[in-house]
Amino acid sequence: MRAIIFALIVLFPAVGWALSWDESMKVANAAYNKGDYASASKSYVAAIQKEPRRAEAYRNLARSLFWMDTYSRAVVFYDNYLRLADPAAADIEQIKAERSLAASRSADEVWVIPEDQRLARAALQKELEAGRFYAKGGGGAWALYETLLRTGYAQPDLVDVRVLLSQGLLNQFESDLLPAENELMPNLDLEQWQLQSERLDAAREVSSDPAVRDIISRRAAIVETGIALLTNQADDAAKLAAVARTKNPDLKFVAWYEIVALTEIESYQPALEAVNAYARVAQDSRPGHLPYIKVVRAMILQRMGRATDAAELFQAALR
Amino acid sequence: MRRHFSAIMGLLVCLLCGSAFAQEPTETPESEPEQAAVTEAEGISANEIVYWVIDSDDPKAVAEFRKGVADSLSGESGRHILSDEAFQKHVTDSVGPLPACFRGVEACISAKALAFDALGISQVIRVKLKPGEKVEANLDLVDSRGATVRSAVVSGANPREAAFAAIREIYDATGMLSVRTQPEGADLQVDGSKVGTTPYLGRFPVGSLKYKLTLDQHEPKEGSVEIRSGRSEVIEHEFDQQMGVLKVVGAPANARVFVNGELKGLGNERIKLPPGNYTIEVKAEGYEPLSDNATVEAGGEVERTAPMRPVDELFDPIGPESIILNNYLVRVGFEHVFQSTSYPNASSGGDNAVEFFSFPNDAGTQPTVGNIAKTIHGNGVRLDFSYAFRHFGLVLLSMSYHGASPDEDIFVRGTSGAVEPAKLTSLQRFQVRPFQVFYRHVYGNWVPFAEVGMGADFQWLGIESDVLEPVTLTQATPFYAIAFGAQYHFTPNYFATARYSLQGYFDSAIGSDHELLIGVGAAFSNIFGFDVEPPEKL
Repeated sequence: MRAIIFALIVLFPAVGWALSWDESMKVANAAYNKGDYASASKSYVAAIQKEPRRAEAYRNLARSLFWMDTYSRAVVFYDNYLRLADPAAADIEQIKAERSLAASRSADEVWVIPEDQRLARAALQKELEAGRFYAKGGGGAWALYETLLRTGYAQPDLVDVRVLLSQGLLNQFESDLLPAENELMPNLDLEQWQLQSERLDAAREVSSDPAVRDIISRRAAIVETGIALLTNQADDAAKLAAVARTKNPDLKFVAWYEIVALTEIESYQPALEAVNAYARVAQDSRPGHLPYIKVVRAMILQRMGRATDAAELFQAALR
Repeated sequence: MRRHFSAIMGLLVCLLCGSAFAQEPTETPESEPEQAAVTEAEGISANEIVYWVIDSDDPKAVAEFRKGVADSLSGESGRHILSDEAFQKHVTDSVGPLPACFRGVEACISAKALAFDALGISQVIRVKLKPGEKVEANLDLVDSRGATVRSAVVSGANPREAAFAAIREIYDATGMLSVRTQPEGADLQVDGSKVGTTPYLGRFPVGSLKYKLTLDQHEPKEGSVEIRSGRSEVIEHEFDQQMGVLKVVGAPANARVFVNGELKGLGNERIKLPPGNYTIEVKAEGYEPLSDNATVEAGGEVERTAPMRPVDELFDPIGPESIILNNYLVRVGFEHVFQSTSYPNASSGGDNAVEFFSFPNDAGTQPTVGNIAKTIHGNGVRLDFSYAFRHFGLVLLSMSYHGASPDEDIFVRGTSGAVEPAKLTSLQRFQVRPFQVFYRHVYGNWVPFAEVGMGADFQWLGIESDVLEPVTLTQATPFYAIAFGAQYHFTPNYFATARYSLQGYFDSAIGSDHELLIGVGAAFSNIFGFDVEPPEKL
């Protein structure tokens, strides 16, 4: 069961949003050229949701909406295109003419955001402001963001939402990842690691900032290590922990995972070396960890059959 | 004598403390089975391990004290580790799994407590011997939290007696606490400090303890227990699963929330549910139902937004602007016409034309003066093609065709000039209206309109008689028309329509038509491509 959960977690990013902006546009344009404007609109919306700052999808969506006789809505997306497009773009005048026609046909009708989108956007904003970015069971801003996308919301302010969301998700992730002052490591069970993994996936999905994506990539190695440790895949955990420690020099506690994983796979000598290395780090930065380091060293020595050395350390701890 | 004393003391200690201790080296007295039965009845584990740390400058005093402890505990089945060698052997024999806190699934208790757990030791008794006229032993009892729970000073004439005094002091003043829960694995806090997880067995000083049991996704349990000397207190607790809350927001006020198919509450209500995965369905009159999944965690609150869409019905309101912008309208309908008329100009044409003379008079005979009118009913179809501005519009083309089989007696003037009786067996009419203007107003989906215009009516009358060959008379007459009607739009492009038209003929002898029409229509914009539109291919 744990192996299945682990596999699902590892595979999850691969089954996420399937189509890129380019792919969505290709599908949408094909539908447009066949006159299937409803399908085209959906794919243009998907493209906008993928990259809300790219102007072309707004233009083509506006055209689809035009042919669907929803002129006031088309006007909104023509305006989005004109706002985002390069002012020197060759089709600016043509688009202005199309927009003008759509506006005249829409007469005095003004498109208002549909109620479902308005409610979802407001609820999302509320969650963002409250700092509830991702919750167990699918709540929080991330779930509302997905709900918002399902309503077909496709506006340039999705960029701001995504920035806030990715930062919030990462902050929430980091907040749960960083151990308290006196704790050896963060207290996370398998479900919480999965939650952390989902947060990272969500943050990865909405972030285009290379710096943020780099942090996500580095932290993902820790998550994989944590999950491997808790799904009894100590061999994998040992390898992953070494990678995670190298990638995350700012998070000293990752060394602890390596110590535990090496001990579990009975690589006692490397485990002892990892303990010694961690002890040197803790000497300066986390002196409160030194008693724990002595106990784990005793446990490793105990497993190595060095009973005298182990007993000496245990006695010191018990006294 | 010493042997008897030891046995008596051992029995006394065991009866008082109810615990099962073994001395080291282990000796099995004859009375053990009976003692074991007593301790089992009180629910005390025989596996409690106590580690004695005896400190003194005098190794001989240490040895004597150790021997005294061992002798005073004879008959016990538990384990007391009294020497370094025994401790070392215990370390060798007690390799267990790494503590769960090393994987981060729970917070690590103190390093000292981890050492206790790693070796399965439940208590450390630190003894500091002070030689003198009387041997004084300072005792510190350290429990599995690593906390010194009791300190005492005992004395004896020699280290051995001090050891016996220590045993009396210690085991008369502590008791066991056994905690079992269903399910297991709950965290146990005693007086605010975590001491372990259930099932739990530990020794505590006598007195009242406050305990708290917590288990993820379950209601915590708090209480107090009185630890009695030498007794085992047993706490058994079955946890109740903690409830979670589901809240559906953003739904209309009358929305009903179904959880796994059962009505559980209304939108915006806090619905308490046991933890689990649920299928939620939100239904509200006039809205499309929404369904979603939610995982309710114990003690957690899950909020779901239900952005419900109004039901997409044929009669959904349509914005007037979207109706108005469709300038080109085509209507086709079934029309029933009734006309009180005569056919004064109907003629077969040519030099020897057959002409309509009259309908019979009331007596059924040929009238002598003027034409007599009859009401003729006909059915047919009508097609209109119009262009509409915001309110006014032009009917660019309107045509209708009606047919009837009146089978009416008539009189015709035959080729010889004589008036003959005949039968009007068929009537066909074609009307064309090249110029009509109309006014419309849009009220929601309704578009009432009024129309005026002119047109021409062409009629073909099929005549049969006994004296004449069957002949067709034709008649063409201009008319003016006034009409009232309404359209109901199902969509901006498609509608149903009904109208009444009155067509008055300029030749008063022909009378007037009353036409009732029901039909359907379609409305489009820019069908001739006069406006700049987006490309059809990208």
